[in-house]
Amino acid sequence: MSITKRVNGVGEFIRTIVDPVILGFRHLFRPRQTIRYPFEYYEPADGYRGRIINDLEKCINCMLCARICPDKCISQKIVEGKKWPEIDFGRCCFCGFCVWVCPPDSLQMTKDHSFPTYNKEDLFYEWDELGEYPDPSSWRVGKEIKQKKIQHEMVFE
Amino acid sequence: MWDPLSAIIEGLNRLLASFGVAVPGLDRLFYLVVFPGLLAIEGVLYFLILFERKVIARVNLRYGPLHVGRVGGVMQILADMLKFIQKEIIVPSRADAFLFRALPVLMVIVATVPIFVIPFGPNVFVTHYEASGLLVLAIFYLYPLLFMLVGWSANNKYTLFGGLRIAYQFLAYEIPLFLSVASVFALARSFDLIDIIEAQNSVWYLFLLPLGAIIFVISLLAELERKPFDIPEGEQEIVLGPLTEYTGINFLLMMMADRTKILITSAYFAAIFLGGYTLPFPTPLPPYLIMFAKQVIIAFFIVFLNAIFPRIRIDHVIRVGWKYLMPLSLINLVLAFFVGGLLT
Ligand code: SF4
Ligand code: SF4
Repeated sequence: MSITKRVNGVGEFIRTIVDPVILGFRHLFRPRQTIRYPFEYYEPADGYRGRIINDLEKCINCMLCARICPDKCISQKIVEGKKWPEIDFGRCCFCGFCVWVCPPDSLQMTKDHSFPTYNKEDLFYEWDELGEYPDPSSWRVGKEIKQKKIQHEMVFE
Repeated sequence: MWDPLSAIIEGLNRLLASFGVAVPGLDRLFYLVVFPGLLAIEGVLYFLILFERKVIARVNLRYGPLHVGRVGGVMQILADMLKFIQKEIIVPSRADAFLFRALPVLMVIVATVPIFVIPFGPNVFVTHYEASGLLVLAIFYLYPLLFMLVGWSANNKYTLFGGLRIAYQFLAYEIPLFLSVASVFALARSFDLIDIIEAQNSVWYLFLLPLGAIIFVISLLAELERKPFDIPEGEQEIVLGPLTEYTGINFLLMMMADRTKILITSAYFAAIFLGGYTLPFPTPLPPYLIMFAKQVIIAFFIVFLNAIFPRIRIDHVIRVGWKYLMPLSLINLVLAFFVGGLLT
């Protein structure tokens, strides 16, 4: 190896040490890429598989959704001679099979990802509860809520 | 010169005298217990740990602790300490129970003891010892040995691996570290930290021995097991290395010992390469504040380095130690004799 190459190598070596320090220092003043979740909210991407709702007008009471559910979390309830699905979200894995199979597309997935409770029983959504479209303001906990857009900028150059 | 420390000691002396109590050597006691001794160390330690978490979060473009204590999560570390204290101390059934319990306490003591001899001013030191520079190094070398003992005493394969890795790393970096310090001793013709600091009144040894300073910093990071060299605690490989089996307050003590060591070695580095309590130009600041500022800045910088570097593979670490740092430190020692000859 020639002398110049060796010196180049040393320069390269020093750069590998100095560059991260400079980059790390610059990162101290960059905008953060995370949000303070309960206080700030970030709209999930389209196609997000969140809590399931059922359009009671469209549902044809076929119960295919209960058949296909791999977690067996959809049960049926008979109201006035019609079968309605009920979902236990404590067991649901949000695979979306039920939405896929539903013939009139009455089952839909929303972007609601946050419905914590203190009781397991509260995660069982009865047939008419499934019909309510979740109120977006009820999705979040906490007092001050800001819609925040994260700047997805390139972090490394 | 503005001098709050001696004013405080004076006031304390008068207060005690008004009760009819005279404490001989109150100033030394004050230096040991309050500043620059234990209380100051623990105070800086708290903010060092907080800073570590915050700065790692910032470099990762996250927030870090935020809620406990309203402003920037300042009480988060206190909350964590309370959590650690509440937890059960679990001693593995096959472990050497006595050593396992005793070692964390011993390590905190060993990490803190060098503060006895590090001078923070011409008169601000707990004891004066002619070979204080050597003594700090000697105590400092005890620490990895205790850490190896920790790895052995827990009787777990991960702790044992961690201990062995410490042994490898310690052997490879102990000699360059000592030789770079030896070059400082050779230049100052003294083992006494006060003499070394006084000799740097006009120009810091950082500029006379830049190679020595670089070797010292690299070996220091290796001895501290900080980020590029944190292989003994490699979380992704061997859980937490020697700390694997520790829970509760024992773990807290080990963390404290680790951070205390950073602070003490920062003070040592400031003393031998950065002119200690002196500045090359006249200032109205008291010397101990200068030294304290240097210590804190270096410690915070070491912690900042922790946030940005990845871990190096163990064979690379050992190769760098034996193949490059060792000959370079010998060259540096020769250079130090040369520079010393030129100066006198
Ligand atoms: S939700 Fe869809 S699949 Fe389920 S019963 Fe109603 S129509 Fe059938
Ligand atoms: S999303 Fe999957 S698991 Fe959940 S109810 Fe539908 S089919 Fe069952």
